Amino acid sequence: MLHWVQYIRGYVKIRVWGYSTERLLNLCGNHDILVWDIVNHGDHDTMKISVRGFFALKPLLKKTGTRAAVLQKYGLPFFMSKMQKRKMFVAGLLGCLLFWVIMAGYIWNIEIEGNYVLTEDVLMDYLDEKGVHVAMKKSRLQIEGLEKALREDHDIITWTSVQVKGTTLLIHIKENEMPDYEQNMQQAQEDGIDLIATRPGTVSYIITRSGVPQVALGDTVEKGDVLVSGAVPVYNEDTTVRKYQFVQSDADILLRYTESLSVKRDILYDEKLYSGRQKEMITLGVNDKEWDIRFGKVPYEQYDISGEKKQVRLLDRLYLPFFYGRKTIQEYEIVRKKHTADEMNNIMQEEWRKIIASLDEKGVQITEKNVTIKKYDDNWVLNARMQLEEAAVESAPTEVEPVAQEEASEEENAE
Amino acid sequence: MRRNHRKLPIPTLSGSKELIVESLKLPKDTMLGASIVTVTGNREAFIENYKGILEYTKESIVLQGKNCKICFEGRQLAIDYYTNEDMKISGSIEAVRYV
Repeated sequence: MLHWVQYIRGYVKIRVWGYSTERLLNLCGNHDILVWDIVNHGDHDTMKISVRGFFALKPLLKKTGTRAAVLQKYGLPFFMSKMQKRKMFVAGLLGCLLFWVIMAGYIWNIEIEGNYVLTEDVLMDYLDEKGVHVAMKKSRLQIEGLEKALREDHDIITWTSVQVKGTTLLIHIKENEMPDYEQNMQQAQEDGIDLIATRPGTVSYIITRSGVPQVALGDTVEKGDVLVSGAVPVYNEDTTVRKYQFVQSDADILLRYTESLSVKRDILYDEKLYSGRQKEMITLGVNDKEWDIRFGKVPYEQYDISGEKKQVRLLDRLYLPFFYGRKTIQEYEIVRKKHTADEMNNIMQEEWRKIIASLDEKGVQITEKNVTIKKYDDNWVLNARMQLEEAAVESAPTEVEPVAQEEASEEENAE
Repeated sequence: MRRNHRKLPIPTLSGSKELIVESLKLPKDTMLGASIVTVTGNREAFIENYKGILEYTKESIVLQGKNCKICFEGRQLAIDYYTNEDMKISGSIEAVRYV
C-alpha cells in the first residue's frame, strides 16, 4: 500500500555527501521527511526520498553542510512526463484498451444446444430475422424477449434458456417429442378432418377407425376424392340429416394403380482419360469476384478445374467476404468406348435397383411387376410395368353443405 | 490516568519512578523513555523511541536513546527507513551493545 502511494506521488534516489549525513537524517526525522533505503557507500550515502521531501531538504542541506544530487527518478509524475514524449505509443496503448472494451460489448459467437429436429441453420435464420446476429451489440439483446419469442414461434420448443457468456450467446432449447399429435388433437376438437386421395387408383385395402367411409373395396377413385369423411351425420326419423358431428378421420387405405416406365442406356460412352499432366494455381476472391493466379496460359486443350475455396473468418462464426484456395487443372482426352454385355447388364440392374429404392422411399409397395430388357445394337432399354400399392391419402378439413335451415326449424316447431 | 499522576508526589529518584510505573502498570517506553529494539534473526532490527543517529557506516550504526546509546554492529548495514518515531535496520547484525 505504502509503495503505491510512494509511486503515485513520485520519489527520487539521491546521493548525499558532506560533513555529517547522520545529522541530516536526524533533521529529516524531526521535519517529518520520510527517507528510506539508506545505504552507506563509505564516502557518500544514497537514499530515497519523496519529491516533496526533496524540495524541503534544501534548507537542511545548508544547515548541515552536506550536498545532494538526484541519481534516479521514480513514480507516476516522472512516468507521465516521459510518456508525453511518446504520444503515439500512449495513443496506441489507450487505443488498444479502448478497442477491447468496445469489442467486449458485442456478441461474437452464437451457440445453440439441444436442437434435434430444428437444424442450426433454421434457428440461425430465425435469429437473424429477430435481429440477433454475430457482431450485434450486447445491449440491444433482449434475452427474456428472445426466450419467449423462440417458444412462441416454434411449437416444438418447450423450454428455452438464453444466456450471454463473455462475448458468446448461448441458447439452450428443449424440443417436444410429439408435437404433431398434440397439434392434431387440438385441431380435431374444433373441425372435422377428411381423408382424400392424392392420386387416381383403385381402393385395395380400407379399414376405417373413425369417420364415415365414402368408398368401398374395389372402387375406383380420382385425385381429390373424399375417401373418409370427417362429418358423421345424425339422422332424423325420416332419414334426413339433422346435423353433423365432426370427427378426425383415421383410416388405413391403400390405392392400387399401374405404372409403366422405360429407361434407355447407350452402349457407347465417352470416357475422360486423364493424361496425368496437371497444373496448380492459387485463387483469391472478394465477394463474388475471383482471381486465379497462375504462370502462363493453360497449355491443355481439354481440362478440368477442381479445387476448394476457404472463407476467411474471425473467431468461430464471423465470416469476412474474402476467399482463398487452390485449384488444380488436369488435362484429359475424350475416348469413345463401348460397354460390354456384362457391364450393360450391371448398369440395367443398377437402374432397376434405383427405381425400387425410390419407390420404397415414398412408401410404395410393388404388388406385381413385369420387367423386360430389350437389347438393341447401340442401346439397351428397360421396360417395367408395375402394379403399385400406396397409402396415397392426405388430410383435409371437412367441408359439408350446411343442413337446410328449414328442416331444422320445422323440427323445432314439431317439438 | 493523568489525575492519578498529579496526586502522586514528584519522584526525585529514578528508582522510585520505576516503582510507580511498575505498580500502576504504565507503559514503560513512554514513561521511562526506554527504547524498544525488536531484532528478527540477525537480519532485521526494528527500533522505536530514540532521539537520533550519531553514527552511520556499513559496519556500525549508533543511535542516541534517552538514557543510553545503542550500537548495532555487523556487516552491510543499511537503514530501510527512518522517521522521527521508528526506524528499521537491515543487514547482517553481529552485536547490539548498550553504551
